[in-house]
Amino acid sequence: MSKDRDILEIQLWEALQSGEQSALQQLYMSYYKSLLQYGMRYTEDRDTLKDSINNTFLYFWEKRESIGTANHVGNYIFKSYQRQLVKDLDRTTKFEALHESNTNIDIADVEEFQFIISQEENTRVTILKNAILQLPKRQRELVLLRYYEGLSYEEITVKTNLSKRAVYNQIHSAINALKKDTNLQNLKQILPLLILF
Amino acid sequence: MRVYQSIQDFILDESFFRYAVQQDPSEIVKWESYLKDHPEQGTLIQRAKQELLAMQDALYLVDAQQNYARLAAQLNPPVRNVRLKKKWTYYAAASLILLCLITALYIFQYHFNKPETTAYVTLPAEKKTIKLADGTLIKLNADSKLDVAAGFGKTNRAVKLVGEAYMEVAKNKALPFTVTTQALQVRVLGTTINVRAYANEELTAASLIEGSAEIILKNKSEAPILLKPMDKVVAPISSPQASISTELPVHKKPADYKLESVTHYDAEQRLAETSWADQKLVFVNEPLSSIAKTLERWYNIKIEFQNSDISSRKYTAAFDDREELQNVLQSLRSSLPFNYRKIGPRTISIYLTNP
Repeated sequence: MSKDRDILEIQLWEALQSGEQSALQQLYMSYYKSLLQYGMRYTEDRDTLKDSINNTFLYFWEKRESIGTANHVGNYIFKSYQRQLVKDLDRTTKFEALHESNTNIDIADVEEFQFIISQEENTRVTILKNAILQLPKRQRELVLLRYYEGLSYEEITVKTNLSKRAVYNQIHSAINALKKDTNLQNLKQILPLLILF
Repeated sequence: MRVYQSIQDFILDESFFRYAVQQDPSEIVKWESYLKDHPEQGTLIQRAKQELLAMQDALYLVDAQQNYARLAAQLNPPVRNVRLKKKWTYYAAASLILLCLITALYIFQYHFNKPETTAYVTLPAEKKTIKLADGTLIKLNADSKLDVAAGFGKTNRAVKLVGEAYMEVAKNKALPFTVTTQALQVRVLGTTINVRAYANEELTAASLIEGSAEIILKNKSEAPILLKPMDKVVAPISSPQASISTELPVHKKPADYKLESVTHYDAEQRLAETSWADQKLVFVNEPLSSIAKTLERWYNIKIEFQNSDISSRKYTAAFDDREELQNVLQSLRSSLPFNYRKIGPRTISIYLTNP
């Protein structure tokens, strides 16, 4: 766990306490993946997990003036999320095993789920994210089903009522578009510098 | 097994996805043996794997962004003003007091006959377009202040500027239009001019686009400098240090200002000096320290340099002013490398790449 990241997160946490919504968003964006993956241990139901994540952050926002300073932001977020998860899963009664398991999360557990992406990677991922958001709606949905939810072509066929050929072709052209788009964006960054030389 | 030739072939393959992303044990065995049979595809497989993993992170961000939008809608429920009706007496009392104050202020002003200036102020990351009483059009850049004197358009046409403004001055031969900054005064009749005079910059500049203008340097007693279209005067703001320019044959005395030409930055002959007024961020052979000041104003951030030798490096680049800060920094560092990282909610530190 890097020191820099710890310090940055404590600063973000303080900004959140003073009412800066952008700080809440930054923490949300950087913990979303780990929280979702952690929740997948207990349930496959992504919609419930997404609601729990939102409830956790909504709690931070509404109680921002009374919540304490966090020495370890990640730990605090995970603990709050777990409490919320127990509550939300209890309500939907979709899950029992959580009660049996030990409900304490230790730090090692938290760190297992935190991921740090370097600056270069971060930019690449952001470019890719923007490119995905620019895909036609149908293609974006299929890409999400295939690569995010990990469904096979067969399963997508059943879910969407499209032919297997159509599903494959749409995803194929989406992947080609992403490749073209991300290359183009790299070029666009250099282009302005070339104009003058 | 089918034939794999390109990265896409791997990315589109279900079995490869189970190996690279889901780390299915039986797929790992299968793909390791495939790699043994096709060692020449090692780098291709490695890259396909990286692409898939980057895509995973990107998809998490897409999902996070969509899900955050739902949360954001819940964050600020509209405040209802129920209390307002109940406590109307308080408000009535408050407005009465306010009325008294305003009257007092008015009387005070009248008696002491203070000239009323109108101030236009822009915050960092903000621009304003202002139309003055005489028809002059002014675009005010970020973090700037323009004071318009009392009686503007009737008895005078005087404005004071801290920051940067692009001005299309309406013609009026009887009343010259003057712009006063910390270091200089510009006198024009009717013209288009860009004046840059930020308090935290060492140089001030006036670029004439069309018409004619006279520049009076405040710490110089010599004759005004007469500008022709496309001329640009650059002068230091504070100490009159002699940075003698060789491009100045007209004046006998060594001057501490420079007379230059405005800079065209692209094939369409657009001007770097006024690019900000067209929603562009343009830097032509500009030191990083000065670029940083523009970025600070434009993105409302602070930039710190850890090594001063980076700040003097010169860069040339053009962006749309709605470009994300990260993209701007990325493309600058792609010509002469530096590193940067966020050290506070609105603070960025720039440091040198270790050799």
